[in-house]
Amino acid sequence: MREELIQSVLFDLNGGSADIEASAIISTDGLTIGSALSSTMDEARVGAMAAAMLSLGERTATELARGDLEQVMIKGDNGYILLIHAGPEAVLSVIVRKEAKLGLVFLDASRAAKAAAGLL
Amino acid sequence: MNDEVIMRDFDAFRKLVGLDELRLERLRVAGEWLRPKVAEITDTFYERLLADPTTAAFLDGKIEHLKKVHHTWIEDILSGVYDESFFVRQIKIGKAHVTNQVPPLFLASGFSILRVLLFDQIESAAKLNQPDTCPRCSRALGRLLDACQFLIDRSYEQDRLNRVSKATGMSLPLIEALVMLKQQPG
Repeated sequence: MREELIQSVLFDLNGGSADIEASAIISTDGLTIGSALSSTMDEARVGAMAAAMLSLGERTATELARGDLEQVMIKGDNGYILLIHAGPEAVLSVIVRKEAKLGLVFLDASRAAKAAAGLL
Repeated sequence: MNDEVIMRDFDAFRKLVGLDELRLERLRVAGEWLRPKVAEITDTFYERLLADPTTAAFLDGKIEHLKKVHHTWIEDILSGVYDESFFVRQIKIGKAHVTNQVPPLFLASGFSILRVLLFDQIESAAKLNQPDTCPRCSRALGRLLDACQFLIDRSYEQDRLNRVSKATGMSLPLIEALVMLKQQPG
């Protein structure tokens, strides 16, 4: 039941914006809790890398006295990857097109992360 | 990787290298006549290490204590009792090496020197036609030393993972998940 609810949060997030290509909720140990990824994406790889990036982001923010981590954003030639905490033990990973309106994506992703955190 | 995981991997290792009851029995035979030579083996072992300036510098001021520890360890190796607690002791020895920051290179060199010293003793005994000399003891002893080194090495591996975890904030299961990811071409 909880799994389905988390899955529906991800489908709503992906369906609500044409800019969002894929998303997943991952435990801080890198295990996938729920995902709405394209068939070309390896769930285990996405999960482990997203959790690793979030951990590194947190540690870097702490080491450099930037306070609690809010998000990690990675920008590449083909778009963005956004990582946001979904509660203390999970990460929402959002894969975004390069033409995206980031303000809207941030807003939608933050709402989805809160919704997912409430379910975990 | 906790001690339980290490012991599980170790059981697989033991089966692979064939460290079975027959080999352990050969070790008990070897132990009988190698035990009186432990002091001599320990002295030669440290003479070899002290011949190298880098290891000599590392060992400076610790030799007498280390000789006692080494003596006890070799006696344990030759004791003929190879139960689970024997192998758990090897894990603890590994942790002590890590705590004392013994470079992995020194550890590997030490094992290599020790193998040669012990095999030389067995070879000499065989040449002198000593009674109870077991021609296959060297192989059995080699297997046991490999097993001890395997367990001690795991402590170094564990230490490196702990350091990565501490530096990056990544949990050990996450690091393990990253290590286990399938390799991609290129």
